[in-house]
Amino acid sequence: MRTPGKWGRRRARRVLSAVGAVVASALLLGVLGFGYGTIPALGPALDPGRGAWTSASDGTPVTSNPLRVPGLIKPATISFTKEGMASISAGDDHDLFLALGYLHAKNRLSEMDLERRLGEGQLAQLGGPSDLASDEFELRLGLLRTAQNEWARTTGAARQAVLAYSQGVNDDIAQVRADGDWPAVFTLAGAYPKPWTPVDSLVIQGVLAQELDYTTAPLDYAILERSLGPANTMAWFPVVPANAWTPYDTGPYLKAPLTPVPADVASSAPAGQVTSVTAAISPAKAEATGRSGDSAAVAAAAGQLLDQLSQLPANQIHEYPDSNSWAVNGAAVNGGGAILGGDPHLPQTLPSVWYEVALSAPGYQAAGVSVPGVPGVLLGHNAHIAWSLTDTQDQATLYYAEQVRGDEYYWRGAWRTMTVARYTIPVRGGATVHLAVDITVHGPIMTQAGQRMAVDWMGNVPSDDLGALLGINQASDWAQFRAALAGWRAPTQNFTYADNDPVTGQPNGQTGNIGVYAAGYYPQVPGGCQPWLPMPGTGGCDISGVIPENAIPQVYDPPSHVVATANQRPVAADYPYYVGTSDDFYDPGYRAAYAYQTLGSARQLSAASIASLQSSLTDPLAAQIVPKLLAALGSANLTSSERSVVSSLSSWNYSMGADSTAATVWWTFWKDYLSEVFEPWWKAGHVPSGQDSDGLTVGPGVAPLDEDLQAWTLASPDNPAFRGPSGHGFADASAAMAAAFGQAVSHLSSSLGGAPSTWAWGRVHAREFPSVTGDNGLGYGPRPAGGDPFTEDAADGGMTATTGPSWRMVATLGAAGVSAEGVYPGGQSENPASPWYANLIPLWWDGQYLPVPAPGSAGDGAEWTLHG
Amino acid sequence: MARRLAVFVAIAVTVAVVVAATAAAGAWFVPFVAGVAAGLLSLRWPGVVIAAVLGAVAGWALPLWILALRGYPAGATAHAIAALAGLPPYAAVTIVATLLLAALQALAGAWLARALAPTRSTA
Repeated sequence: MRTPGKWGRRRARRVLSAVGAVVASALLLGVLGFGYGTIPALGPALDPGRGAWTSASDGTPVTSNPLRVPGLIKPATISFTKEGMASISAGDDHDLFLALGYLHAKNRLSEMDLERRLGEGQLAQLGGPSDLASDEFELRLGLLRTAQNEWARTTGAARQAVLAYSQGVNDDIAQVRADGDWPAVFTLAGAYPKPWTPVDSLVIQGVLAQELDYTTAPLDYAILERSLGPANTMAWFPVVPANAWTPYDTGPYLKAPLTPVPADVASSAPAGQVTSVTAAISPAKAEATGRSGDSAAVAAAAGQLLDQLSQLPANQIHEYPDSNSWAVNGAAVNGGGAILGGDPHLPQTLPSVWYEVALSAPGYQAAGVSVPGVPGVLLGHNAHIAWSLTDTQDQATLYYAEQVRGDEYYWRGAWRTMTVARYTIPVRGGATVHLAVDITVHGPIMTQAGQRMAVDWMGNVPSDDLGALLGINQASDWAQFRAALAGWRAPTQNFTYADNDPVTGQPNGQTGNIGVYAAGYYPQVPGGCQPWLPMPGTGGCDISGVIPENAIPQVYDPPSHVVATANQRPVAADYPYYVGTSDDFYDPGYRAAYAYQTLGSARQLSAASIASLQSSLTDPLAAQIVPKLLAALGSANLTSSERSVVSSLSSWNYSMGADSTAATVWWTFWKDYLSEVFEPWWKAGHVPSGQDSDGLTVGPGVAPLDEDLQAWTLASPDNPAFRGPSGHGFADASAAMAAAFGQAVSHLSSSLGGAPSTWAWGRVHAREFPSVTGDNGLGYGPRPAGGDPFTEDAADGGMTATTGPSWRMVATLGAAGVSAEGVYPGGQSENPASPWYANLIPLWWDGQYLPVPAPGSAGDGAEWTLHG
Repeated sequence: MARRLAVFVAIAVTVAVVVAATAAAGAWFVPFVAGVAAGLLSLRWPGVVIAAVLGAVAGWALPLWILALRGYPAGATAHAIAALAGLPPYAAVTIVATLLLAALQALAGAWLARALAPTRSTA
């Protein structure tokens, strides 16, 4: 018999069980079906039939297949080498770019989508709230606005090329959508790529420009002036560097009137934005001195902006000056002709920023590396010329402290209404964010509180980079090359050039011209203004023009038969225009000087000689400073460890090899030497180093400090800076070096043990190629490695370097034609499961190269036949 | 005894085939449905839930096995998925997580069915 109590308890348990089952099932199905917060919808994501697992289908070796690609006018082929290098042959220029878009998307769709999302402020939709700071920054800065502006101006062949390219990308997206074989990153996020548009390609160009050209030096100067005082700041971070450097353009220089900047391209705001003059009342702190008025407020605003920038993903703004490009001709070259070497030093990621390809169509015969998302070959060669790029490093980012009241700002004697651009940012796992960006005549306001700071960045000037790129792909001589670059405004780049044309004035039939042309906008401000600091936004320091084309840095067929660019200041001290300060990320010049020295003194140079130089681990600064250090230690009372270290330094060849113990000592010493000399000043001035660890922290990454200490050690050993802010520091450079040496040996003994013979550089220094998504487990390394920021084979980004030669190319140009070899650390596929994901890294690591497939050539691997 | 084992295996295989086939069509929730069915049947035939759970797990393992058999890099893909999902970047993590999802769904379905199904009075 059932008692009421028992029945009640059983009923209660049953109700509880039912409620629990319903809730648990609802929660489980809800989370699996829709995700929760940043947890993806795991049901569809891990469904073994349709989820992220299907990305395995793209992880197998490419096989020969006929493929239907809508929009092709004629059939086209894409052949591959066994290593994955692609060669497109098309019967029509339109088809060439359509096939390239299709190929890029086939191999790099998620990389392309991530890049455009980054530039368009849509990363948080994929990555969640952690990417919101990046989205807000990009939408403020305005890559999307600029790309839209550029697209409205894009005409002719460039317009046709990018339209065809976009169709090719969309053909792949449509196929992937139909098959359900999305790259795993989309399936896991539940956010899939929207159709590709020409604006997306231009945004990716903008992202590259930003990574190469957007700098924070004026913000650092504002903080340094506040901390160290104007005199010390300008003494230690001078406009013209303290050390000697080797410019490629040695003059004589032309002083021509500035080229005015057209009114409709002066900033990122649409034309006609300056409206509504409401009152001609001058604000209290309008300045006419070329400096913004309240230095405390400006420094605070600079700090605020730097804080924002520190939240961005790595490498989003320009940090390291590390590219090389050289060309030699004439008597220097074995067999005559010319040789061009290029190794752009960029963040080294998996997948790489590069995709190697050869293009063949009636209008284009070019080969080299392309950027996924952009049609054309960016670095490479055609049948007549070869070219490569290094960053010019000039100041392209100007900051203006605006006087603001409400929604107005004061400019040229009147209050003007700011243009407001409004954006909606979807956030995965969070609430949608609405962003309003105020824009003045100078550009977007980048700070939200306190002193409002606008940025006038040359990357926001509409630039026909795509037209220039396609023009270079087709150029056959220097004149055409120069003409193609006429529309290139940003980022300013040293375009290194070589051809196989006859050399003018050489009757013996010599071929092979070489040169460098640093195309782009170099903004100039009126005399009295200080562009290295935030300037007043009231109108007196607006850009007054840019350096005219015939006066920008350039060189052509120099008598030395060598041109070398390595991010050094491209001109000498008497150049009559402003091209930025020593703190504008110009390289200290060590790599360029070493290249000139090595190439200039050599004869019978070959492609192998250039390749050898690209892999050189010699530290030219060490070659200058170590003898001084040894001299300073000559009379010192040394411990046995210190004597052992001195012995290894005495016999060192200055090579930063991974096995070298002297390399470890040298680098540690140089860091300690910088610290011994400058840290007391930094402490006394309370420099807030944490606000910009790359620009404000004493260390080898701050080029002006390297240059100062180099110059003082070599030529001014009793510089007052050695004595410190108290005046009771070191007597001279020798005393500071001896102290730093003792510190270095002490540091290394405690971190690596007491036996200096075991202090191999590779124990403390490595290279790593992280995944472009930032996820652990998809990158390469860290692996012990040689090099440092001053070696030709540069390693930058700290003791685990993540920036360095992202592509190495050597092109040989002679009577027999033009050919090239190259390699980059990565692989053609972005799929980590593909055999072409990281297959090129071992070659790159060992300094080996592969032939760059010639345009129109057939690879030794699979071939796709595309038809419409 | 042999007959009960045969029924157990038959149920597991049937569930596995249905779950695998529907997974290919994107029906990721079928293990849950199979669990509901098993939960209802378990009122009469205890043991069917275990068969269904094993079948669901096998049903999601089957496509992965076929993937590997066809030469696709299932292990490397599992490694990449784990890394992209922010999990420890090991292939086993993704494989276990995938199979666990199938099992959890089947168990939750069975629990729901048993909890909501009418029961005979014991009076």
